[in-house]
Amino acid sequence: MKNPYLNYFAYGTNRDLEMMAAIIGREKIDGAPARLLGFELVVQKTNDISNEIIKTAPIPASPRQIVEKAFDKNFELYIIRPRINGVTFGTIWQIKEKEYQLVREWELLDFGMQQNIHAIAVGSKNTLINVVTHGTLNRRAFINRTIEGNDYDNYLVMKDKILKVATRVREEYLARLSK
Amino acid sequence: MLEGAPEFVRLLTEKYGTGQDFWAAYESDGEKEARLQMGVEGPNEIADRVNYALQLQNQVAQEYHRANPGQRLIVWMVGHYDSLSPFIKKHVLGLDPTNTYLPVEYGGGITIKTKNGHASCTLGGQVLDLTIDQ
Repeated sequence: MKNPYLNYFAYGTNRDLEMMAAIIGREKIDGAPARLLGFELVVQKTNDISNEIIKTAPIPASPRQIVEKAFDKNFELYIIRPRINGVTFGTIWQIKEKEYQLVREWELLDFGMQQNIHAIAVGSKNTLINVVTHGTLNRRAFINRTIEGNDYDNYLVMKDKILKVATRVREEYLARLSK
Repeated sequence: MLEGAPEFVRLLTEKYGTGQDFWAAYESDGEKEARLQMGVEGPNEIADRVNYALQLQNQVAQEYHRANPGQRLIVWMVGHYDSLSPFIKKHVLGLDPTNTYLPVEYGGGITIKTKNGHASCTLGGQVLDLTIDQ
């Protein structure tokens, strides 16, 4: 029988269980620390985020417009981009395909803020694991700063605020699907 | 490029047809200005992308050997002339990929050996060093 779970590599805020629970609506999720190979963790400010409205956008809005509306101009987000010998620390969560769609919705993949990425991570027992994640494949993507190592803050914006927004985004997405 | 940049492909086919002249124009980056305006990948970017993929395999191999000491690892990567040729020109031979021609025969390829941070490959009977871990 096919394993119904994906190995989702989560970094930045998504490596925190509370954040994942808000995004996918499930509080008990199996997960383990891991290192993603070939990518660096960086921070983008709103000015670094694309302001282009792309063809796949469900509504006519750019990623920058959406995050500025949901938060403010001081919003910051974690994202990964390719770098030779880069390493990003995070968590591999076991989630279902439908739950990954909720992650895609939260990370605005259809709006072009990030891209779907298949990559290789090293698990806690030094095993190589095929994972799915998201980020940019543009090695020259605009960024504000790079993050090195495992000891970084999970939250770049107020935790209560981002958890509330993530919960609202999930509920609105599911309501749209049920119509 | 063929699938991801239909506008650029249309520009090339209108000016150069669909034969060798098309590829010569693409490889020599003869329409660089239009290509950059359309955000299309050129030979230099392809060479760098292949180099990144190989460096990533090297990084994965190091992790593999850390977990499996004493083992040999063979990574089999499949590509095409239009990715392999610019990579070899730029990252193996140190040439500008837009002004040299390096054919790759059908089914052709290269073997890269890595050991203890040193990498090399053999081309035309000559052993060439590659830079890794950069």
